[in-house]
Amino acid sequence: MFRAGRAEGFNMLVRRYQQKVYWIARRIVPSHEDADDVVQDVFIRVHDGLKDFRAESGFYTWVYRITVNVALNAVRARKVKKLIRLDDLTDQPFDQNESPVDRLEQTEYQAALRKAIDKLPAKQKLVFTMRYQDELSYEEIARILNKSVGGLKANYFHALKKIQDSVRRDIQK
Amino acid sequence: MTCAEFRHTVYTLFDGEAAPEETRAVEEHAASCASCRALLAEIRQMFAGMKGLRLPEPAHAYWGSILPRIHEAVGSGRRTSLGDILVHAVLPASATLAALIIGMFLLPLQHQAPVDEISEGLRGAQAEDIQLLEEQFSFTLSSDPLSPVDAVDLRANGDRDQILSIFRSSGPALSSVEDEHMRAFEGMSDAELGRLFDLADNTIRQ
Repeated sequence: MFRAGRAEGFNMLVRRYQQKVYWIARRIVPSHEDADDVVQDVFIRVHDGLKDFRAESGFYTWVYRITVNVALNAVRARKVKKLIRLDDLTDQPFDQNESPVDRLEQTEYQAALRKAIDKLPAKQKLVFTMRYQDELSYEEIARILNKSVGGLKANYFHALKKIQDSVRRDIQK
Repeated sequence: MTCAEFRHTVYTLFDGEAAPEETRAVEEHAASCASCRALLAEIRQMFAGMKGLRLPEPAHAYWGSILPRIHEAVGSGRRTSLGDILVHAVLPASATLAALIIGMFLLPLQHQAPVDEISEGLRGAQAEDIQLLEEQFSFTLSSDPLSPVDAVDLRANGDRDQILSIFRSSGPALSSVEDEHMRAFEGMSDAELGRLFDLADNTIRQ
């Protein structure tokens, strides 16, 4: 019973965190298949590392850090793709009250946004993802990436500025 | 506020980081400066547009496929033995059990309990009559975020041997640990976690 209990503990851990790990990875790597590889690798590492787990902060921070590292390593190892494919981003359903012109503009605008986000340098994109999409606090991001809060804020605002500039250039073309 | 200060500050409005006076200053400047007003509108449009971008959800069945494949990967040579798996897995089981115990015995879950208080609670729970444990269960279950089904199961298994069995097996009870418990656990420092793991491990072993 005791051994079964231990195994169940790990199973519960996987079930509890698998979606979070997947989405962290998915925003970094270019495809579902890549994200799936990262998920598998992360939990094997978590499993192997548990006996030495001495995270300076919480467990989720530890898992998040592993996930970011594994995902970035996966991107570096492949060196063939950008961090995420534009085609993988889908749009929210259109507002039925929008005119066809509005829809076209919306489509173009979101395409420009996707392209702008896609073009961000890897580290800026990572900070942008963690702050904007995962809604982590700067303090949490600092713990995960071992960076200063001030530097992260600068990274995030630079990322936003780059996105904005890129979209503006695209729209004006 | 100057235009340069506006450009420096405006993004913080969308980041939840701006102080009320900064927000007010940015809005006042935008009201009096056409180019900065246009910039603010542009940034608003950008954030609104980003909300519309999303990645496709994987098939629902995907989530259920993850765990078996991890077990398969671990069991096919990437781990040295099943024994290692179980030894390593004791930590989350122990920690989660500890979080459950914390939730049931000690905590308003929103804040972090000093580890001494936790260890005292754990020791007390072991030393005192099991009747107290049952009382704590009953009391806690009435206000705990366990699901109704879990609560009923625990009450149905409310004799002392079965309650201890649930504690020791870390089985059914663990599946009902809620996020609040996990957050309490996650909020602890490294040192506190380490001590908590040891305590919970000892509790399970007894």
